[in-house]
Amino acid sequence: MTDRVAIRRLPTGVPGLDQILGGGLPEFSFNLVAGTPGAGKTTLAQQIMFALTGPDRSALYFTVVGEPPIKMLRYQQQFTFFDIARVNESVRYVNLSQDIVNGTLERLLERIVQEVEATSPGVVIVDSFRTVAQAAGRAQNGDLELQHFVQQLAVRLTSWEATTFLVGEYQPSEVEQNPVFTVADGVLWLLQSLDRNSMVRKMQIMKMRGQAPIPGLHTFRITDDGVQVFPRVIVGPEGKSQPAVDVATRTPQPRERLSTGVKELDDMLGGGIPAGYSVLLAGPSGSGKSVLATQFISEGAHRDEPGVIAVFEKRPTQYAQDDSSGLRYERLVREGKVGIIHTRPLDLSIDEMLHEIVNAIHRLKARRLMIDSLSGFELALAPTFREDFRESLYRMVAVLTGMGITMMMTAELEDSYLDLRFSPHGTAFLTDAIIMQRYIELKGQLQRVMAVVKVRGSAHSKDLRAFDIGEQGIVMGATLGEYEGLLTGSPELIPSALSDTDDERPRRRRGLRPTRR
Amino acid sequence: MTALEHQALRQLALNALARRAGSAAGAADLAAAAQRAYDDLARASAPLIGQVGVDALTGRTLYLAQQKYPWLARTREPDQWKGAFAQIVFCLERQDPDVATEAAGAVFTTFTGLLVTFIGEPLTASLLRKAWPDAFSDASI
Repeated sequence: MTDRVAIRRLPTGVPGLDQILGGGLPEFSFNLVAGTPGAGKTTLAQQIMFALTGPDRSALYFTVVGEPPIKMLRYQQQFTFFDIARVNESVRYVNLSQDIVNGTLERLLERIVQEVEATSPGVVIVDSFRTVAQAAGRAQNGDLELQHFVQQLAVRLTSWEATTFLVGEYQPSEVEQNPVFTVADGVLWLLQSLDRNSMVRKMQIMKMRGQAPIPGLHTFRITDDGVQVFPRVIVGPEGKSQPAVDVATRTPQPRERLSTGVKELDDMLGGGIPAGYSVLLAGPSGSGKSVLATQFISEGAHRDEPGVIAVFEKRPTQYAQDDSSGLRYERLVREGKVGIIHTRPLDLSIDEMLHEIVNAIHRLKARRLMIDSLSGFELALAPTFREDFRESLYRMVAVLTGMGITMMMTAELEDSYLDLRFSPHGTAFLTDAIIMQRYIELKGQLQRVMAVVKVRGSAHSKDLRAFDIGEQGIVMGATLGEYEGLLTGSPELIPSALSDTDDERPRRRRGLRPTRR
Repeated sequence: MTALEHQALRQLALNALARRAGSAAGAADLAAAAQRAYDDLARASAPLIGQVGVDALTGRTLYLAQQKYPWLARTREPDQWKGAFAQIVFCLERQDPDVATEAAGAVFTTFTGLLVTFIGEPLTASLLRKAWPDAFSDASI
């Protein structure tokens, strides 16, 4: 026999949760929402309950001694998902405090089953199940009795066609010993991760029988709308992201190139930036990275290639008002050709940022992305994620370029004339192309030069070209072919370029150590 | 639904009392009606806010009502204490019927007002409709 039982998967109503569960919540599953105090367990359970209930499916919410019901109702109805009209209709609360205080587990089980059989709910929640376990602890054979109780509860609620959630406070050390973890079909573990003064909420699907959840810790946030999960993106063997992000199907044409908005630079790149490439734009402070990157976005807007700007340094209003390069961002934003993302600083996860970027890309049907800057991005992350910045950035770049997005990331570098590096994060190898900007001293002036360091799979200019920043943005100057030692900061005219001073000998130069990272 | 303001809550309470006391209402009848109205309300509220929640709100109600009706102050010996509402009933029985009616109305207005404070208007209205369906015919909510 080849026909397998079909397990219907229910949408949880929690953004991102269905993805990490592996496609929704198995109907009639018996689940545990576990975690430390304040992790968001009750909020998650209530949000799922309201999403799952309606005219055809009711819910029973058993409150036990944990959070007093009067307080829970008071606080939970602050969330937008809490539909007061459904309370005592499709959502019914039953308080079991007295049953647990005065009775035995057996009597408690009978009371729960009695309520379930009376109303036949599609969803049952017991909050807090920890209290039940503590009551079992009072019994002589506490562990055995609890195990028996949990098994009975699981069987009777599942056979009554209820999808069940037990909500309880547990410590990680209890996972191996507590029978609840063994019996449950699904275990959703919520925790607050502390690193210095920063707190990040994380969720792990420890198990979900019958399907493959996305492994690892996923960050989530609790707002007025309840819980929102940001699935951790996993990059597959071919650089394709796995289902965490709804990757667009647009595939760039093989030879399609995108203009940077600076014709001479396009020529240096071999005809523009190949579509779907990630470009690292490295240079010291004030060298013109943001100007070039915004020009790249602006050029796209004028070519019907909308763009997204992820800002980590300036405030978005500065971009909207910045007219130094002749760009009218305010208008472009209003027309939906450019989107500006400015996120809460200092407590982000990469996945949350990626989620916002992908949303903006889908909303605008964007083809271009600018991240300004990587240093600011790293700083905006919660400390716990900074340690994994390189790995996280790799995942993000893979997902975005996999969507066909052409992205330009700025990286601020301390100007050093003793070595040649392109990224303070060791991330240069992640990118498909690198454009470098530097300051040099020339003819008694501090001047800017730009060079294309690499364009993967493409011929490109190896020239160093002077450039300036004018009213309209980047203004490219001459190729400085007659000089050598430009990158040492002390260039000299090469002998063949000297007309009247043939006898002049090159001065000793400081060495240059290429140290790509 | 109009807002569950003080006057509306008071009117509901008086309706509930009148339905339960009948026409010939002495103080004892009124006190018994108050007990029945309270039992109905507690029965509807307990599943939602727990018996502990009901008891806590009743205790708070008694305390607040005593500010206006000092004769509701505890008069029983501790060993005779049967709960805050039993105390209220005990005191109502010993008052003039008109005074008892006014005080009982105030007690229920306070209790339901506390419910509004803690769980909000819509949930309170839902509980009241379940507890005192007969009180709504003349009420403005």
